[in-house]
Amino acid sequence: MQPLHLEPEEFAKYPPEARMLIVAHLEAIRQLPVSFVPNLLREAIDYDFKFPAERSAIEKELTVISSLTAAELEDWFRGFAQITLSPALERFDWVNQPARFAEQESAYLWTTHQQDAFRDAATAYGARLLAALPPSEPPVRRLGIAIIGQGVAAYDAPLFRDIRAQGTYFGKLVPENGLQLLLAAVGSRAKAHPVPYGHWYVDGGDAAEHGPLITCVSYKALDGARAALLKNMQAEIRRPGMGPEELRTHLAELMPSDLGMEKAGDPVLDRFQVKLLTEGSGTQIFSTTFAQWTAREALRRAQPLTLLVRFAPRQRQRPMSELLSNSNPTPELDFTGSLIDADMGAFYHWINQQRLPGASQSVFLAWFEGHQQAVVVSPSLPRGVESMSAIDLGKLLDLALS
Amino acid sequence: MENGPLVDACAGAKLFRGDESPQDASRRRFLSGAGLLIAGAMLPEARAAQNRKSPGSGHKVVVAIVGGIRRAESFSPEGLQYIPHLVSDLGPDSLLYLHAHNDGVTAHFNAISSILTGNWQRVDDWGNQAPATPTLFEQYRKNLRAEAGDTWLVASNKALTSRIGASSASYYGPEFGANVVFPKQLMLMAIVNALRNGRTRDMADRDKVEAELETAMAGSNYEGLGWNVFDAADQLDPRVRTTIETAIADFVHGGGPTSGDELTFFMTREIMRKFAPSLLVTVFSDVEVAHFGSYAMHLAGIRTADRLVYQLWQEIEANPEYRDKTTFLILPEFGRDPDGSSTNGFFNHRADEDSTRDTWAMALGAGVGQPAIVERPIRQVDLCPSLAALLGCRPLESQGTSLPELRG
Repeated sequence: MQPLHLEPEEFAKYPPEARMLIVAHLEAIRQLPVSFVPNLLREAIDYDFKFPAERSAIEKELTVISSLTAAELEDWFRGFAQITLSPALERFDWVNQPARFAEQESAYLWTTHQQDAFRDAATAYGARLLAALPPSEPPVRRLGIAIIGQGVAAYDAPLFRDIRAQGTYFGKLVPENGLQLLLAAVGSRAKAHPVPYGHWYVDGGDAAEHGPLITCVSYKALDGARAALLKNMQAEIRRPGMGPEELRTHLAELMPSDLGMEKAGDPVLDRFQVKLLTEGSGTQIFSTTFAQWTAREALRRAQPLTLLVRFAPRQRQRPMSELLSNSNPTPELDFTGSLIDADMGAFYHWINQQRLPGASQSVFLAWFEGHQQAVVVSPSLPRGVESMSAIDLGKLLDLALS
Repeated sequence: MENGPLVDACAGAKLFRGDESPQDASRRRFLSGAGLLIAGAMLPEARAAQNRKSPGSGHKVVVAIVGGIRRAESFSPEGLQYIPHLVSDLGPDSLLYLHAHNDGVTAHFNAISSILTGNWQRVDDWGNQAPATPTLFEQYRKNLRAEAGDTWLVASNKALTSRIGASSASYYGPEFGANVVFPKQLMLMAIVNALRNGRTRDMADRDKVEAELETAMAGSNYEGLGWNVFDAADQLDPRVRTTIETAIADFVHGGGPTSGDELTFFMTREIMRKFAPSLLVTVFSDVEVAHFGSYAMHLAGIRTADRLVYQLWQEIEANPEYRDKTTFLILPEFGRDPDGSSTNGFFNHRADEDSTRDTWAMALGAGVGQPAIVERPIRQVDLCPSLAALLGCRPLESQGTSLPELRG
């Protein structure tokens, strides 16, 4: 099918808000190349289950497309129009299965050596969209907090090596009640700036007590879903003809109910959590990877004003001999290895925060849990220096946000 | 200090060999039973010939390809700590190409097949297609009429298939290809098949073993994820299969704490000792745990690869079939993505950036005229024609150019 022939009835299986949105912009969508439209629908079909920041982005993108003249449409989408697809792809039910189409389209572009042309077209389109829709600044300075090294008694090697140059290193903090002070600060921000999905707490273990306005995701709370997913994956892997790409497609279509998640839960957050487990490699088995990936995806998708990530120790790498014997079904925890994972995870947290609007004013704090070391990146504090001030984490945060 | 998992593994090795722990006894029983299962699956085929004379120049080539390692974690001021053997034990006698570029597709199957063919390959990433131009194995075997047992590839990478051993090129192909061995996969297959066929009477508790294996296979750890052992066809030449399976059984009986790379090394060394092939490629992949997001485990994988390539060099120097007539080449497939890339940094190797494409290569042994550090950039496809020349093959037309520093 070509987009030109699209009718409102074809979106009958879409969730209600997604359907309404698409139909409102159908006239413009009909003018777009078939190599592009399924990729747009792939985002739009999940509109009902997206975070506010994502919904706003989709709405604005469709509004911009609808505002383009015929000549502008031709200009914007010329690169996509030059992509040729196979008859089989054009016959594919890309309206109802846009994600599956995108997978097959990607494979086809690869085999026909059109991948570079498609990438160029997508890059040019993205640049035009960005120029048409400059990002708006957040209502308050964005704050990121990474807490690493839970359970580590001592560690002599330098920490925060990659962030230190960006901020001030504190070597004599008062660590007492640090987690509580930081969570209280997140709770206060959530109260002061009540934005849906605007203030997050991610825990790589069991979540500590936190304020009711905070969006919380924890590794422990997803134990059941992770076990269900691993069982599902193993069953799929055993099926004849199942390969890595087929498995990825299968995982992308899993729903919260497939993993036994509560029906009464938050449908947006439940979908997000399923994606964490099905799209993030390693999130199913390593809590440190789960925490890092969750931070990345929360920043990319929800663009929170506050994001506190607390890393927890992951399981030790099990040698093959132990796997075969499984003599230790409850694997030991690797505290030091987890600290190294988390140190890198904190660095990536800061990098991903800096991609968002308001980066120059944003604040980031990374703390070695239970210890006196932390680094703070803030426009209020000098870069590349060390401080031996004996202040607690609450006061440190006040200083960073001042 | 930063190699937490490695430290754990070493501690585990001591435990495993001791007699104090009741857990050890059950673990050893299980492993012993697993070894019997593999022995039971052996075929009564003849062993391949040993100690054959190498055709051509008489020169042997051993290549160790390690997955994706960034310069930041290897040959850089901050990365040297992870590769002590490469730096201190091998470096002084080596020809080190500081910049060996992967200008092709930075995915495992394509990268390795590009190195092995001297042409940038652009085939299916998951090994569903063979390389499009002749591999070094085929060039060597066809050109010099070498036997099937004279070329081998041993790997633990999940993204490879047996198609890595021969191309789809006209007049070449599997008839001239290498023996390709995936030891970890073979080991798991042997145990799974035995369980399926009920041949577990040697186990103290069959139900327990089956439950344990199920748990292991269910992916409670990255070693178990992604191996489609039930569909994996054993492509091995029957003449050598017995030896391989015996080696795996020995490995299981040996019982040290292991990773895929340890098993790959063990198998490589066994092949060197039993078959002494003239051309042997081994692929280490523990570093690919990076795809699962653990930086500490990735660093541990680099340290393991660093140690194993050193042990491989020690084997070359100790084994009379190899000593003084072997060129040993070590190189990563590619780097990994830079911190801050949209692909989540070290997790992946997809970015079109130096961090992913600019890597290194180290050569040791008979083909190295003068130890040196070469700062001139080379391309990974230059290595195949260079190695072909060392082996005494007539050069095939390829995108690579023979490196003047490597000569027999």
